[in-house]
Amino acid sequence: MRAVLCGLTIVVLAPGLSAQARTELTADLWSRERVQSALEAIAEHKAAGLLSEAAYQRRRDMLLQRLEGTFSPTMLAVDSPPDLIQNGGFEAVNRNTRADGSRWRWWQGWRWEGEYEMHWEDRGRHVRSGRYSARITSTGPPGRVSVFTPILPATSDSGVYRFSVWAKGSGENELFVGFDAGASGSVRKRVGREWERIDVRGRVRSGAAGFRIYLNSTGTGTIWVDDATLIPDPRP
Amino acid sequence: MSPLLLGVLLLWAIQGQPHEIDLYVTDYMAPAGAEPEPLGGEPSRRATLFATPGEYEPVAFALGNSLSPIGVEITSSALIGPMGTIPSAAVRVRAVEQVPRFGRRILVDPGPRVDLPAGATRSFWVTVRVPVDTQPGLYAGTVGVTSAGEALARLDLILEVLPIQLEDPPFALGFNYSQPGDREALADHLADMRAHGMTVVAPLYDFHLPVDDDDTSELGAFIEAYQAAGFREPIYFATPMLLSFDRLPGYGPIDSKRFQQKYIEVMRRLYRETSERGQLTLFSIGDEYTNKGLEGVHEGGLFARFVFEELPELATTSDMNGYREVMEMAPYLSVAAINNGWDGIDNHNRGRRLANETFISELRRETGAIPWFVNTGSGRFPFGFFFWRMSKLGVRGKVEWYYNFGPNRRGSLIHIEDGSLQPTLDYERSREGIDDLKYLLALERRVEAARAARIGTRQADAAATLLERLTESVVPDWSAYTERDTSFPEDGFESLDPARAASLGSFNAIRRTVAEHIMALDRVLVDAESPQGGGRS
Repeated sequence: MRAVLCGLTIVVLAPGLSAQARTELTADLWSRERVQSALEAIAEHKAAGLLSEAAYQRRRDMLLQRLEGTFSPTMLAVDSPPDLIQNGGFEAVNRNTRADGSRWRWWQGWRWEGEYEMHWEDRGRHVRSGRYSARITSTGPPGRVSVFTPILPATSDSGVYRFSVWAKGSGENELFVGFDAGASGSVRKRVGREWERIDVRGRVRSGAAGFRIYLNSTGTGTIWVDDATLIPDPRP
Repeated sequence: MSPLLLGVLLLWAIQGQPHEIDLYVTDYMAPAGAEPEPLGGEPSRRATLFATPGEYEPVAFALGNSLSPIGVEITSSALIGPMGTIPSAAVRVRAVEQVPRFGRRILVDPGPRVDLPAGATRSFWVTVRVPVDTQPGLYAGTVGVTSAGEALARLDLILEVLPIQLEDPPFALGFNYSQPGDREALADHLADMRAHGMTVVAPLYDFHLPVDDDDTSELGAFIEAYQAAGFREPIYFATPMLLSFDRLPGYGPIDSKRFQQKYIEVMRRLYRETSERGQLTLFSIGDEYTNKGLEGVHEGGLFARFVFEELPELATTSDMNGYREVMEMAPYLSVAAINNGWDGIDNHNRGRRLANETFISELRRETGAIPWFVNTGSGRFPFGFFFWRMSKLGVRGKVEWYYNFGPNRRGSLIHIEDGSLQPTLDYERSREGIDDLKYLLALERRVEAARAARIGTRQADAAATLLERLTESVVPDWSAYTERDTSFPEDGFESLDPARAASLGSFNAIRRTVAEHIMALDRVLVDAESPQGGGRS
């Protein structure tokens, strides 16, 4: 089961499975020696003025509970969403941002050349799902502006990923979707007035630890994108 | 006509009319922009300084040229007194320059010749480095201005070396720092920071994070250089903050196993390097979640709780800039590093500011985190009297933006030209602020010692009264100085001796008064320790 809270995708396992997985992971992470060493470390921090008495006691209590095996971690995750894209629906916006950079949480942005403006789109006819899509509008000479992912870890056994995003456009637009910085695979096209799914298969270069995916606008006109996903492809 | 006479006439013709050079002492605390004014209002060619052994002490002067353009040489002499000599190499003259695009005034070595255009006035600083083994007493010397061997003007320097040994403050004071790329530059920078009174360094940009490998050797080399430079405070390691918002978000949300396990792995690699080298380190885990609105703030709170539970052996902090962010994260942090805060784009903080007595009391009471300042201003007052005032409320550190941001980018406290370090005036004044702090702490220690030994009651009472007045003269609220035009001290220095303020400058007049109380108490304390002493007051 999955739920979204504060823009975070929460993965919820069945209660029994989750508890067992957490117990096993905790055992892997917390040897008795590590707990003892942590107790010594916090005592040193307190002596050096890096921990108040109250903060020291909280840490100490927690570590003693770990020694006794009675501590229940509240934050330790035991699973990960299969989709490597976060905020794929561009629903979590950050209004404290510049128009020529990413306006969305998790996504990054940059304008290389030309004049463009990025904005969250809330007009229903330009939103494929949820409240928002991402709108990139040319406001002058064409060049290149991008919304792109942070560095994504190359964890797929096959080294291959499938990226898909829904897009529509107006004017003399050009959407260039590409794997980069450690991977290759791209699509460049003009998108029409109706939503269409753009699929790109990307391959991670040998030895690369990570890669990025860029959504570039290189034409004029406007492009809307929504509902992006990235999943490892088991086929080499 | 003899060739010699012809040469002299030619030289006279080239150089034009005799020059009139106006030299006068100025206030090195004067703000930028205005024509330099004489210190105390009356032009003087005599600069009066006082300092302790090991201290750096500046004085500023202006050179005005009202006639034709001229090139001058500026040289400093040794400072000589009955108790010894301070060599001329310890008396450094530098010109004040504004570098376009850098945005701050810097000090540069004037070189063999300084051009003075007609009608121009240029500013200079003289910084005297008092060798640590200098004997107390008066020392005198000069800064000479000559042209083609002709003496045009002279600044007389009168330095009193005080019989006081200042100590490092027991606080973490320093700047964010970028990896310079080579060990020699690193050693130079760290030595420069120590010479400016800094007690901590906060590495941030261009330091390697072991995400794709397990290489922590760069951190190890930094620790080695940090310790060799004489730093004793824990390192404020800011670079790991990049993990949470730049380097690892691609691994997954903070509540995913993929992100969390990678984060734990990287942080434990860094921690191992610091602990194996016996270097206490404060790890910064986040940066200004307030800028992401209330949702971002909630994420920061969850993240801090995760680090608290799964990496409790790390001393942690986060650079925070909003009330809600601090209150959500600080319960899980060792140190709460705060600036004055802002509302957030969604106004979720409703006008609450952070660098003030009310909030710091709330922070300590409600979260248990130790308050440090991060980015509450560089310069003399922020590092000096204001920090001293706020340290009484429990603030234990201050890290500012930024020693060497990019290649001479705006915001840097140092301009680097061909490897040469050209300090900004703000950087030099920050050292003066830390020196103010040292004097104040020295006086507090003497009062405590006298009280404990039950001697020197009169001197201790007088010193305590001064400290109390100074405490009251600082408003414990940074907004008072940045948003409400409050001056320091609020009485506009009316209580100071005007003649002393005119010759030393206002801040130094206060410092001098503090120093006199230190010396008065030292006389009592030394007297009490001597075989004939009897604890007289």
